[in-house]
Amino acid sequence: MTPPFAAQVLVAAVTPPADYESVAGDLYEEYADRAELAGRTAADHWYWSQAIRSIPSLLLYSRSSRSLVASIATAAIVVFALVAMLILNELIGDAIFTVYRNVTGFGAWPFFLAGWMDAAFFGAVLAAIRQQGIRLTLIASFVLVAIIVIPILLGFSAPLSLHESLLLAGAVPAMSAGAVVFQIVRSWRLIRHLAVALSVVLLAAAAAGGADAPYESAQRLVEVGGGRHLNLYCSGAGSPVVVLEAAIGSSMYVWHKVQPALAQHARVCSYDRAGYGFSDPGGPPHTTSQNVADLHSLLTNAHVKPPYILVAHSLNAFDARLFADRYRGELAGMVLVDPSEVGEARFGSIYGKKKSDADTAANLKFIQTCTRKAERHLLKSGDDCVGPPDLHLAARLRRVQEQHDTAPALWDAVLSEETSLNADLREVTSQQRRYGNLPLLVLTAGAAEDGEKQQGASIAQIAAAKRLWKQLRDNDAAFSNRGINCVIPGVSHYVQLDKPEVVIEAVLQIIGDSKRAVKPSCARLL
Amino acid sequence: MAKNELGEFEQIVLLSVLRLGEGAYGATIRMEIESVTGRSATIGAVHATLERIERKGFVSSWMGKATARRGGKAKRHFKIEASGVKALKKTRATLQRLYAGLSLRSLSA
Repeated sequence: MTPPFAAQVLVAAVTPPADYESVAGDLYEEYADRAELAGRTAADHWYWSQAIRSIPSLLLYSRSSRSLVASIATAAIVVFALVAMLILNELIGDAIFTVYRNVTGFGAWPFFLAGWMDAAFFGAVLAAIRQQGIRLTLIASFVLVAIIVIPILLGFSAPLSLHESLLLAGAVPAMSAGAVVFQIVRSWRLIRHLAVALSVVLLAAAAAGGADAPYESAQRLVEVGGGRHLNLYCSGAGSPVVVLEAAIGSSMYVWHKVQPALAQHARVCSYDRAGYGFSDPGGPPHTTSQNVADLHSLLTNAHVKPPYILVAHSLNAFDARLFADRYRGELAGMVLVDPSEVGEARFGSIYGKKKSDADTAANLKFIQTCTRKAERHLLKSGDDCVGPPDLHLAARLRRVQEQHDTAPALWDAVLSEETSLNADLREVTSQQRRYGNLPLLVLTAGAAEDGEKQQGASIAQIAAAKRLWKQLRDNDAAFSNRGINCVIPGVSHYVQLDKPEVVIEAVLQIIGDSKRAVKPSCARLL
Repeated sequence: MAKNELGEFEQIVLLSVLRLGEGAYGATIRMEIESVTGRSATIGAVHATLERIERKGFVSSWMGKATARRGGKAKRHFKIEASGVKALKKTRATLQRLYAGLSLRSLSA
């Protein structure tokens, strides 16, 4: 019967070489006696307890008996332990934030539970290392708070959200509670139970975090001609296949609240257009026509078989309309999410042509500035171009997003899409469309126009614009005998992020309707 | 702490070495402390203290033979030295002077 191997390694690492023989021998001897008398588990606990609690005394051992090499080794161990703790903390932090995002329905409680449990665990470990551990724990918890708060006060990190502040505020008492409980029960079993409970939460988080995995690396890189590859991510099973088309500036990640839920009922594919996310940059100008050609090659080359249900957002609803013109036979249905309209030029009559033109020019200028900055690698999370980081994302995913959002390729693509818009406008904006009996649902975001208030628009102007939007989307829906436009009150332009359940329900309805001869209805979406 | 003074834990370790006589080494000293004082002691703290009081000349040590009972490791034996006995006497005398004439019972109310 031998002591736990890892604990032996720990003892070897912290004991001065000259004393290792006698220290390890003393521990072994007592361990063997205890194992015989009280059983192996109790002896293991005792050995671990001795090994861990001996660290401070052994490290602070007289300098005279320590060679230079041993001192350097000790310093290296201390640095290694600190780095390991930081990495562990980062991993635990990631997992806690994964809990935060993925465990819905329980509110933020799992997030707090995991965070405070983590704090209690470290409090108990600290109390176990030092006999009078409570003071040490208090100091450690205040150091922890300082490490997080000082960079924020100095402006190096983003401020905390309300939930993060609560988590941090609760961490100090939680650490102390862990330490106090350990002082009272003096049981290593407590530490083990806490460690097991924490692992369970973290594993659950890791399992839930699997939902992020598709967005952290390229999924399937499919050639679309000219040696260019686009990133395709399909999940679920069935036919027709739901194809998600993001809008200008968004990678496939914009569908992350929609795709997993839909994939439980159907096969769902999202992709990054050229220059976005993990797809290759460059290629021909990003006209609507080129986008449609790319999408069709992508689906064909990836052997994603029609029929498709196309779900397209905002500006790239033009892609969906042109796709329908060219490949009507391959479509089983279509959902347009707050789509852009050619009639938008007519908004000049509501807000004034001058403001309308100025907005368009300012938008283009903004994109050009961002593109230039991206080329010189001057963009970073938090600036005007990239926008603030989403603090709810795990650090890993946040880094991936920042990489994508600051990439010159993305801004080249955005600029190209913005300036190519007029290249095939006549074809794209044809009003002669007849989609026959194609189930078609248009979602109009009821609150999309409200932002104009900040731009100085009057209530009457906004109401007029809303009426015009409704009319234009009604026209859109009229392309099909089975088309309908649903105005969703109170929802912003990014419907798939703001109220994903509306988009999910709309797509499910179209899947159902594609198999029956009924017209979609708005009733179930409201 | 002055070179010839004993800290509390040093005093406890030194007394344990004295009590154990020929059987004094890390493991027995640690167990002696726990069983007599009732406070838990780590092997690291015991060895660090032994090393310190050895440097002060209060104890001397020598390595024994490796035994299977110790996982093939040798033990370091400790023996109290004359200066160690002197230091204990001095500490006891100091404490006795401090306690002299005090009635703790009257203070414990």
